[in-house]
Amino acid sequence: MNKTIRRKNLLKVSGIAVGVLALSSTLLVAPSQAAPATGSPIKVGVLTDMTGAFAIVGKSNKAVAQFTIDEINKSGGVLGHKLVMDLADGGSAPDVATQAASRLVNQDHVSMVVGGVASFTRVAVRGVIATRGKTLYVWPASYEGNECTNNVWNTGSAPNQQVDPTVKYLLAQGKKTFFLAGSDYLYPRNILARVRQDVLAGGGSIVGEEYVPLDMTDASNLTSKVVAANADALFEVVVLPGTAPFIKGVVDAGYKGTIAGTLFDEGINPLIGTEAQGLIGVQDYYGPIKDAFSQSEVAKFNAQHPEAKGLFTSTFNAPAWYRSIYLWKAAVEKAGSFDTAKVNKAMDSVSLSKSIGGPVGFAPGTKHLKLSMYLGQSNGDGSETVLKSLGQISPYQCSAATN
Amino acid sequence: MKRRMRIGIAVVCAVPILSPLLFLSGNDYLIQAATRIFIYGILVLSVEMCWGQTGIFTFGQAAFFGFGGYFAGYMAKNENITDLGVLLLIALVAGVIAGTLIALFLFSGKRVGELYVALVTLAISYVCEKLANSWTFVGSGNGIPGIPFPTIFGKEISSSIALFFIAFGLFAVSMIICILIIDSQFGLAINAVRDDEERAEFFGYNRSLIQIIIFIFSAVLASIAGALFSLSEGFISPSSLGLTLSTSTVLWVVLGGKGTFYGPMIALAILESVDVEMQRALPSLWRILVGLMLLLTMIFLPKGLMSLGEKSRNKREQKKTT
Amino acid sequence: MKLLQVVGISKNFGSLAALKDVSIHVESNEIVGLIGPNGSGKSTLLHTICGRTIATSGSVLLSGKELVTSNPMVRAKSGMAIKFQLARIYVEKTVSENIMLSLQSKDGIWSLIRSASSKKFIPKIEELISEFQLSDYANTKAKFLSHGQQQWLEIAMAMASNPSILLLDEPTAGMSPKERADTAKLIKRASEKCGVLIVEHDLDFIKDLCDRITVLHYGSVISSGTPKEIENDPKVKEVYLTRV
Ligand SMILES: Nc1ncnc2c1ncn2[C@@H]1O[C@H](COP(=O)(O)OP(=O)(O)OP(=O)(O)O)[C@@H](O)[C@H]1O
Ligand SMILES: [Mg+2]
Repeated sequence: MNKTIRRKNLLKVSGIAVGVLALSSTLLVAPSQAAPATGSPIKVGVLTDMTGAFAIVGKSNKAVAQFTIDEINKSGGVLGHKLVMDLADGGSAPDVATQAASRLVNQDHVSMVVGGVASFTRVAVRGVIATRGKTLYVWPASYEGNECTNNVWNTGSAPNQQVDPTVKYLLAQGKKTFFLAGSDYLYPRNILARVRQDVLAGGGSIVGEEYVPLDMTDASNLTSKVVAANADALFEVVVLPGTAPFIKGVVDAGYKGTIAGTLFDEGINPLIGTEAQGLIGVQDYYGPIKDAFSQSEVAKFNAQHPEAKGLFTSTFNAPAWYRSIYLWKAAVEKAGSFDTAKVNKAMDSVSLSKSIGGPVGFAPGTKHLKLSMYLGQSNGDGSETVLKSLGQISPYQCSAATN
Repeated sequence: MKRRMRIGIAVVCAVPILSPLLFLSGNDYLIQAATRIFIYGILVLSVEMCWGQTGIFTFGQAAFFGFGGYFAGYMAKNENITDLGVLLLIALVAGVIAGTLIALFLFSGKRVGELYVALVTLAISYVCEKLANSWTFVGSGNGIPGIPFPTIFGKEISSSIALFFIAFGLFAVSMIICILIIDSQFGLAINAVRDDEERAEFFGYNRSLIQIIIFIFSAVLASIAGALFSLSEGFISPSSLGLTLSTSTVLWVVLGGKGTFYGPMIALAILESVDVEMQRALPSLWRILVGLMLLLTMIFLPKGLMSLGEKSRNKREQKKTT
Repeated sequence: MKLLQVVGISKNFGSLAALKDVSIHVESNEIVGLIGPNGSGKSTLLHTICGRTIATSGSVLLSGKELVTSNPMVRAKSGMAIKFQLARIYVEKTVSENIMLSLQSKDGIWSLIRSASSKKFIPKIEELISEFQLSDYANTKAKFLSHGQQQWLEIAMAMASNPSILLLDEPTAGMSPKERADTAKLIKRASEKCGVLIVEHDLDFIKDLCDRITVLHYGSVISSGTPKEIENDPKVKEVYLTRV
């Protein structure tokens, strides 16, 4: 009696265990995909953070991707195939992002992946997508540089494209002494290293350099150091959520110098408030740039995607997302195929005569874009004034070692 | 042989028999997802041994997971040590060292409360995440990307199926070892420490030594799981050390039922296998639902889902004796 | 040398002096009773002996070894075993497992991991549970036992560790007269192997069982002697016996 009860129990529980395993293994099984049949839709993997800290950026990215794909489909698709967006949420965390990327590549067999918001996501997913997954990966964000992995293409601005013209402008304005401040991680450190190099090369001097924890919200300590140093210019890369309290603090404490950075535009200014007045920066797009194509495209975007109205900004990587998909389209058409190796080869030299922000194109051998850049000054109401159109700036060169 | 061991052997046998189903799909994503479940399974085992079986409420087990992951990842990437056995050994040693330091701090003195242990371990996990986030030597916020695949006898292990079997194999070995421990006389002793540690001392048990041993053992399990994670995923980042993973682990254990041994692993397998799809279907709702599930379980089933079976078993037993 | 010698124990809980200069001793194979009204400090005295509380001053010697500041583990290893006033057994474990827990407590960790002594202890477990009338419940979880059975189980566990001194805090509380009589026999049998110090309320129960009795009142010893002497001590009559 006792034995049979126990055996029944064993059967039941091992049945459950086996069932769970079977369920988890078959629940999501999708038939694997061969080469696309003519006319069948092509999946574009869109990886962004729909949840977590960067959800606001994800909202913009998703809308821009959908807008671009719709536009391409309306004009006939790519090589006769319609595009469909395959959205994956990176959850603002690298381990979530790799899982999402793996689904795109290994289960959905997308033709390419565009996306990632933070650099930690890029370095985590590029192995899954580009190296192990042998799928084209377009990284559409302004970043710290040095990404030269095979199958990876950078379509955001690199440090030199933002930093060099900004520092040049400040030096030309007669600024001699600089204070550098940033959050303590790779991006700010690399940007500020470039600033230091440019300032010293241009005859200026660095009077202070400070790094604060990523999640700093009480900026008073840093603020007092900046005010005490009283440099002609402050170059800052303190990221959210610290940006606003820091800049407010510095301005309110009576700092008279010029504040410059890489992260000011219509997306970020409203968070800073009236203290944003006079902030200097260089971006690949601002709302008021004098470019008819950009103006009409963004107007269309705002009309078609009211949920993301006002989110088409450079700091949310919107122009980079837009051109990423068009550049890939151009490469596919040039290669006459969706095959990764062929498209990868074609990417090296594709360009767009029209894009939001102006003409762009890959500088062969660099994996980075020759980008149209603009010098901008923020206004207290959150808007930007374009001080100067800088034309196309040559891309960044990868150093031999990649990180 | 006890029930727990029979189930364990059944699971160990069922996986290789059923897994070809998974491989036939040709879907690497699923194979990787299953691999991850086994890796996290080792982590869950470590928490079950500590908390479920010995009453040590380790709320920061991810710290050891990340520690092993960073050690193995760093060695593989920067020191060109790629042999799987050597890397796992490194993770084991790292786990012993980290586990011993913390265990001695927590348990060598007077008895400390469950909550105290939870808070200290949680704080350690938090500090480790912060530290890794700002320490350039280990890549700051980016962590260590591009970790090469491990090798066995010089051969690179790069196929998802091979990684699946490595993860499964280590999981199976860990699980069987845990079962052997729980079913041994030592298992009885650790349960005694869990149920009434003061009473155990009055029987002459070295309560502090028992807690230290189990804590180190579970730190080693977590560390090996972390090493496996960084090698199979190819990267390790501060979030693998931190609060999110630590709390997820506790969530699996609570949902499944701590002390029920299989409950936490079943909760992990179910939640992990639906997580990505649910996150996709209900992007803003899913996490809230999981939280709600946790809350409801804690209120209505404080011993977790597996306690449902336990209840009916108890009833039968009571009937038998009266 | 006396087996257990407790000398001049005092214990203060804040301003409350729970024990005042209490001395008591137990010889091998002797049963010593400890009586006194509620709150007189009986349990506290047992606790200072077994290490649950540390005495404010005084000395606890077991076979001449000073243990007054030792931790419970050391005291248990030196040969003390206790049954608490409220049974503290492992309710989620079976009766056999509870006994095993006590039997194996002095094994080394490695021997425990290998389960080296599990076979060896089986006859010992069977002997103990049959002695304590628990044979039918060997594989029953302790939480399903009756109140009296739980007390027996705890005594059986205490005996399993083969102690030199057995401390019993109200072993018959809540038992039926028949169970009490059985318990008395069990204790008598236990005293063939060790010394017994027993806290009780029921003088009738204890006077037939004990060789000597000590009476506590407000933390002080007011009388000590054979059961006969205690029964006839007017001080005892006044503070204790009249109230029962
Ligand atoms: N941990 C403690 N903290 C403070 N006071 C205590 C503590 N333990 C016991 N006491 C007090 O010490 C006195 C003696 O208590 P004790 O439990 O030893 O009495 P007892 O003789 O065993 O009584 P009973 O017959 O009710 O079991 C009581 O006044 C009690 O309230
Ligand atoms: Mg008492």
